[in-house]
Amino acid sequence: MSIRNSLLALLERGPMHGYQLRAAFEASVGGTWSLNIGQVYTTLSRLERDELVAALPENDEGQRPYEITARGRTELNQWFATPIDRADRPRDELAIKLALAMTTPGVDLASVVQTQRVAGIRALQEYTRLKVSGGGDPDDPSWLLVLEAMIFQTEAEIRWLDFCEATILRKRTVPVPKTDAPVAARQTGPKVAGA
Amino acid sequence: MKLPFLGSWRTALRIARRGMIRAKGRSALVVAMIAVPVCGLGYAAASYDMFTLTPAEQATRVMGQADAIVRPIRSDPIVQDAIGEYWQPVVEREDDFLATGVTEEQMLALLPDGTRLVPFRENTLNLLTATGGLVEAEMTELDLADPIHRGRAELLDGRAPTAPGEVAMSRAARERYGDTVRTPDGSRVWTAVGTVEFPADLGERLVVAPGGLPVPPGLNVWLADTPDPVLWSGVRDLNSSGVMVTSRAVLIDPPDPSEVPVQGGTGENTTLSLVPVVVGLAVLEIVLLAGPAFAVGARRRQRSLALVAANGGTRAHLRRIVLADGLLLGLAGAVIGLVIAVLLAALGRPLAEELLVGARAGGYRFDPPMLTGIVVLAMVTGLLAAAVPAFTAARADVVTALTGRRGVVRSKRRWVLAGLALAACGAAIAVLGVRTVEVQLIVVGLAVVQIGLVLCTPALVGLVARLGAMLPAAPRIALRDTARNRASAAPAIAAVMAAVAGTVAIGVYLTSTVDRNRNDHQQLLPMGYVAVNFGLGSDTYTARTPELARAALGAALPGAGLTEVSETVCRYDRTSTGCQLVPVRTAAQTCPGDEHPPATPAEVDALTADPRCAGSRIGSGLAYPVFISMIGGRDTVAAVTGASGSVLDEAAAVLDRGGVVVRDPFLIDDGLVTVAVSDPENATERTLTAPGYLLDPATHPGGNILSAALAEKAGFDVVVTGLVAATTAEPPTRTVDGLNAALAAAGTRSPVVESGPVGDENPLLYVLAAASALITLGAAAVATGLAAADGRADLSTLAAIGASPGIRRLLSISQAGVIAGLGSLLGVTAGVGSGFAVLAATNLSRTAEWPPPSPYPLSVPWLNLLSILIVPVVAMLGAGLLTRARLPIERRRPT
Amino acid sequence: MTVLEFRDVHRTHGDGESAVHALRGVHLTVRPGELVAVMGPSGSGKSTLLNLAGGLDLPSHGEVLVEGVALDTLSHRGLAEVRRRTIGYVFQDFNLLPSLTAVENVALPLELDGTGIREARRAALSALGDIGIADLARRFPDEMSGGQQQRVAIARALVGDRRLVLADEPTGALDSQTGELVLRVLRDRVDAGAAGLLVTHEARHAGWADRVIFLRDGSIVDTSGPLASVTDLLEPTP
Repeated sequence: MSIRNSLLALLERGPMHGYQLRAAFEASVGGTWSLNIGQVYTTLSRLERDELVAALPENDEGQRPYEITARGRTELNQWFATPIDRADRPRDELAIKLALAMTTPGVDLASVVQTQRVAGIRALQEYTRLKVSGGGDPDDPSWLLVLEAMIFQTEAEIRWLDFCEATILRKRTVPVPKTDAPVAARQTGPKVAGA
Repeated sequence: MKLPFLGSWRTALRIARRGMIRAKGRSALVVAMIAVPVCGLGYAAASYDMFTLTPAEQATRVMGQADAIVRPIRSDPIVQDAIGEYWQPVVEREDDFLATGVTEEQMLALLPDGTRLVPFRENTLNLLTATGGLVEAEMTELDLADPIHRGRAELLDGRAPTAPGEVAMSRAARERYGDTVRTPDGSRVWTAVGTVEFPADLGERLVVAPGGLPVPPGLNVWLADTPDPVLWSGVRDLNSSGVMVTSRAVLIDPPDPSEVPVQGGTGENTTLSLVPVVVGLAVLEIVLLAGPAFAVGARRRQRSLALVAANGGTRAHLRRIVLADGLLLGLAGAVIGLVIAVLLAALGRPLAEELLVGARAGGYRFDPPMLTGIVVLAMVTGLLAAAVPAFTAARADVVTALTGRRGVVRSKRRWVLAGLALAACGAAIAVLGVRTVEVQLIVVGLAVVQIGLVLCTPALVGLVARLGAMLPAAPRIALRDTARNRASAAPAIAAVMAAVAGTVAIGVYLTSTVDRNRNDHQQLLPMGYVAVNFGLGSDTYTARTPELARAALGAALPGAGLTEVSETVCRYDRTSTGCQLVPVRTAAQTCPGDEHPPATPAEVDALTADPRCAGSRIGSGLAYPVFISMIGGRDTVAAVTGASGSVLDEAAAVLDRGGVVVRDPFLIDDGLVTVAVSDPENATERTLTAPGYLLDPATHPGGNILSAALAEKAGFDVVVTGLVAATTAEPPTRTVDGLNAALAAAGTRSPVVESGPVGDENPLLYVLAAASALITLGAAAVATGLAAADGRADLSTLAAIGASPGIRRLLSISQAGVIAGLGSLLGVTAGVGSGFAVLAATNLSRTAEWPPPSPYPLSVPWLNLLSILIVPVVAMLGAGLLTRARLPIERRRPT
Repeated sequence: MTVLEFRDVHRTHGDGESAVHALRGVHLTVRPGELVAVMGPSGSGKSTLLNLAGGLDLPSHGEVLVEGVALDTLSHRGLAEVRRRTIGYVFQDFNLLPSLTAVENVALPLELDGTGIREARRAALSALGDIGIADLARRFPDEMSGGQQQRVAIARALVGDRRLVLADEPTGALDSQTGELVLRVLRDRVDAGAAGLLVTHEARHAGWADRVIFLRDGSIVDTSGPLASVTDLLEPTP
């Protein structure tokens, strides 16, 4: 998730100062992601440095709104037009963890999986509750979109867990010697199924 | 793979076979639907086969071990047919004389040397039954001990009669006559000494020793044991001497028809044969019975068929799979049905011999070609029945089938129209067949009518379903199910219809026969009354007879009022009842056909329509009146006709005025009755006229009663000739038997008990009716079972949403009720129609003769129809009992 | 007050060598306003659990209580009564009676319970209206889409005063959008005070539940209760 591009997108609606930006951001992701105000200002100053936004004069309350520049608009359009490369995203910690658990003696793999699954289900329950209770701005369904993305990702993760449990993990008979490195190849793939 | 055609058939057959095994219940039902009618046909065929004799067997039945039967007919040459039943003289002569009194020596002279002749004579005579009735029985005079009779008449137990008072009887005769047989006048009495059986006739037969026949026939007949077989040339030689011959050798090896100068039976037998009608309708029933089985099967397999289609199966493949189903199930049904049929025929042979055929079968044998024919018929039927569903299944929308939606069959208007048109068309054909007495046309017509009705069923179902919107849930669901699953409901209804139609048609025939008997029955006395004629002038009559008879009646029927009945007697011989007064119709009132027999069918039609000719029918219930020339008044009218009240008063008044009481409206002309005076000593025709009073013949039995004044006018004396006992109910057999004996001792004629018309005694029809009713029940059960199999998922759903076991049962009952009920309704319609068509054709076919036999009334078999109500009821009960009241524990699908 | 309670419920199919233990010692309570999802791999006993809760099947051992009444003490008739008065059942494949219209299908449990036809239809019509498909009332099942049929089936399961709604993979045959719609109806009903038991193998559907129980080889292995707040889930992006 790029905060930089998110702020650009929000400024496309019109000039906003830092606190406004933070509120708009949280509204559009349905409160699933809270943003530190410091993070907002750091990002804004970087954007100003790169001439993607321009600072406007301070208002009466001493807040300084920013507006998007032509260059920033180009950058934003480019962002929307470019698919997110999976390789750019951080390595999946869960896959690595399971791979390690599989090969580490004395670890109850089933309970690792189940714990993770229960956590996933809990997340789903919460997301669903948010969805039903209408946590975000009812006139702005964009937060629903983010919420659904998270539901799908979590669901995919749980399905991946189910699948692993039913197929791969059951085959484990002998723990791999401690010296063996985790198999990196296992970390990708399953998440795709969530799309 | 080299034979793609055969290959795909093989695949189809394999799929069909697997399907059969997987759906055992359904397959069993389908097989049963085909097996039931096949079993019926197979039974008929096998029985026919066993009862159809070979010529050699036939010869043994007719002549035992002899080589020929010789009958001297005339003294001049004759010609005869091959089997020695029909003859005619070579030269027609006016002085038509028969060769009576030919002796054995004269006969032997005509036959080769070394011939042995064994005489046998047969005649019919009246005998008293064990219950006192008078029955015409066939009595044969032969030496049962002679081995030449073996195969023709067999002594089963006891010994052959040798003395004049001894008789051997068939089992049936023994049941009827008891151990002692007597003539009505008691002059001859025989005691049973043995049991005899004529394999060709299991009816009532009696055998007495040679010379024991009370009334010998005019012509002598011999069994001839000749040194060499009597060939056709030998027969012709004997014919030239006026002798008719039935020869074993000729029976076994019949001569070329060109060598036979005359053919027996002039081919004028216009009486309709019902056999083709029965067979034709049976085949139709098979098709209609098997149809629903395949229709339901194809529907249930729609999904798997759709899968085949989705995997690249062509429509031809799909058709083939369903057809293969038909082929396999048809074959299985046919074989099973046939095996049961053959077993039934073999095991049930003794019953069939005694109850159905009345003759011994030729042996245990089965005609493979005929049985194969039935199997082929069943398979073709299976294919035909599977064909329609096959084409429907092949055309079904794959996606719809795969998604498991039930296709909605809206009844297309053109099908209804086509159905109505077909029904009308079929009726027209049937009527045409009736008019022209063409059996084939009738069968085709009836078949077309039924097919038309089948086509109308979906629309009818739709109509009925519309009526059910506000019904409680269970019947409403049943009606809607039937309406929306017309593809399977219509054939099931058609199957029930076919079976019911058959039963009802038989019922119509039976009822009509009974009604005809009733119409023909001439009631002599009020019901249950007993009359006795003293037999004035007979050998047994003595002066004490009236007194003894009165005592006998009084003893046997205490409480019954006795009325003396008088008749006219000749004044010159007061024991002769030959002097009679007979009311006659005037010339204008006489049926024209009696004097001038009609020559053309149009004339016959005219006569048939003529009310004056209503009585000129040959009926089955002829009865001789107890009293002919009755003279009497009020008492006699009351006793003989049962009249009472104002009718009796009026009748008595007319008699008092010297009139006549009659029962035939055409005897009265302008209030007057013409009475013919008949006197054996005086040939001149005299008539008297007297005022007449008409009793309604429908409500009053008896005969004509004349006034004493008329007897006086005719110059006849009047004496008491009998008694009528007015009983309150028909006396029991035991009483009648006792009365018989007492009256025989008194020297009277045997008493007459009015017991109403006799029922039809042909057991074949009753067996047929019973079998048909069973098939109907079976068909209804199977058809509704198949249809209900469709609704099983709904039952589970109902259970899940909280329908109590009772409601679920009610749904099954309703489903069965809708199908069996509608089927029965249509079946009754079709059955009554078919029955009427056949009866009408039978009536028409007989009107070529004059006087015609009395017609079969077109009567509706109400009792039979009531019993048809049982079909839906039993189907519903069965469905109710078979519905699983327990919860469906089985999974809807694997978890 | 619990609406549904399982007390040490065992269910064994067959006996001896071939015995299959579908459930072994299940304890479970469902309260009004609570939607409990049952998850687990194939053969874990999910459907058996639901059949037992619905009175379609009886336990081999232990007790199933609906509103405090042990189902095994009831006659067939009594069971049927519970099924049509207290329990609403939603199936994966809808199981609408094909020969009845939507409104007739919904009215059926009331009719079976002795309500007059007209009154039952009025109630059914309002039940259909509640879930926004009153316009489908006169359609026959095969004239409706899967989602429409399932909503009719839910209306049927909810009509009248049902306190326990059982759903067996109600969205299994539906696309995810329609499935969502169906679950929302279910959720609304539970929020209005019914108790719900939902068998599903899809995590996203289990997400609609207040509590998720995991079945494995006939036993409950884990339960996921509600969380304190959504923020527990928020992980900072690494």
